[in-house]
Amino acid sequence: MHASATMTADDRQGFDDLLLQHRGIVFKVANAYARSAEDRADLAQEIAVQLWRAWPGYDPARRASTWMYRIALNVAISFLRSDGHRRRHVVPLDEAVHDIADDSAVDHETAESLRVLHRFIATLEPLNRALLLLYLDERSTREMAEVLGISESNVTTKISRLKQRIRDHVAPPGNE
Amino acid sequence: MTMESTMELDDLKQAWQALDRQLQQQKRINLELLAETRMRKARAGLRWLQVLAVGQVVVGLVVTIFCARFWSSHLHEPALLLSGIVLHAYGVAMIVAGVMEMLLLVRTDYAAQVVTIQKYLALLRQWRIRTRRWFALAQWLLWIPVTLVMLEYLFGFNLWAHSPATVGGFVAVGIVGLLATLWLVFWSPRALRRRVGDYVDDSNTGALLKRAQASLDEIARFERE
Repeated sequence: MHASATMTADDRQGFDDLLLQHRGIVFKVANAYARSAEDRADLAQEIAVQLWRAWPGYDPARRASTWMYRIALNVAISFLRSDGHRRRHVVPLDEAVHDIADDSAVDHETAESLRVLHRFIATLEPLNRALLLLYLDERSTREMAEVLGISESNVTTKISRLKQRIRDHVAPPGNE
Repeated sequence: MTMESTMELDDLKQAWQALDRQLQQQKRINLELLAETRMRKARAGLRWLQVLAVGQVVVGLVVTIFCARFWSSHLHEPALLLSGIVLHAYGVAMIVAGVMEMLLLVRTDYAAQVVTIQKYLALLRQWRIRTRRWFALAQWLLWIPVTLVMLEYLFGFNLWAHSPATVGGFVAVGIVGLLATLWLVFWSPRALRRRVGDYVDDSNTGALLKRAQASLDEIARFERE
């Protein structure tokens, strides 16, 4: 249960390598579920902690991304639903979106798309948010079903509904 | 229309991938190092909560054993028999609540499928809120059997046999207190409930229960096609 106490140096190295390789999952989930920079850092750390705790039970024969997504999404949804978190950091959505998309590393159009995307994400329920995140990350229907614990046909149905919601929500970014 | 929405989605996907590339380069947060420090703190906090839950189970066991012995040796004194049985039941409830609390703290396997683990957490959360509420309300009446049992056990004084009116008065006070609290929690005007709620520490219970139920409803909707 308490991973670090029993971890060998090899285990530790294995965990660090895996985390380094898939750290994008941690950051993307944190970005989708937390608004303020402080909350995002907090959530990313919490996910890393839970990954570490679950590490002894990790089966290398199974896909690492599925394992990481399950833990990251479970932690993020619990974080979103926790009462303390709500009380601590209430950040206006526009400010939070600006915080995420504000940078010189992406062009104006991409930054605008990111703002639109984050506004849309903020309107979704935690489980639909998880589905959208997996979809945007181009995970297969099968992996989405494995991560979330619903059937593949349910995943397909829900994605088409999400597309409809996006259509209702998102104005086309620039008509070229 | 369909083409347009596909285009939008593709644009969003591209934006998402741009964000991903950006995040990959993010060196500000050293997850490994931070996780290690935080893990130590989290483990200390968790250990404390586990100690409390284990303590609750131990106290529950002591109460259960003590009360079982007490009421079985007072089979012909109805008030003491009833008091012992009530406290015995309370001890069992404490054990069950403590074990459930430990399950909540220790057995949460975040590597399980999201829907499964979220349902489990929402159910436990709901159960925990309800239990706390009923445990708190029970205190209005529980002090009466505690008084009767302790007077008999420590001083060999059967209060009911000497002064049933006093016990009747205790029960009246308990019932009035219980009804007043129930009124405050369930039926009083919302503004008053919120004001007094801070003192009763039950102000959020209704909202928390609603939120836990909303989570369960959301999960059920999500599971349905």
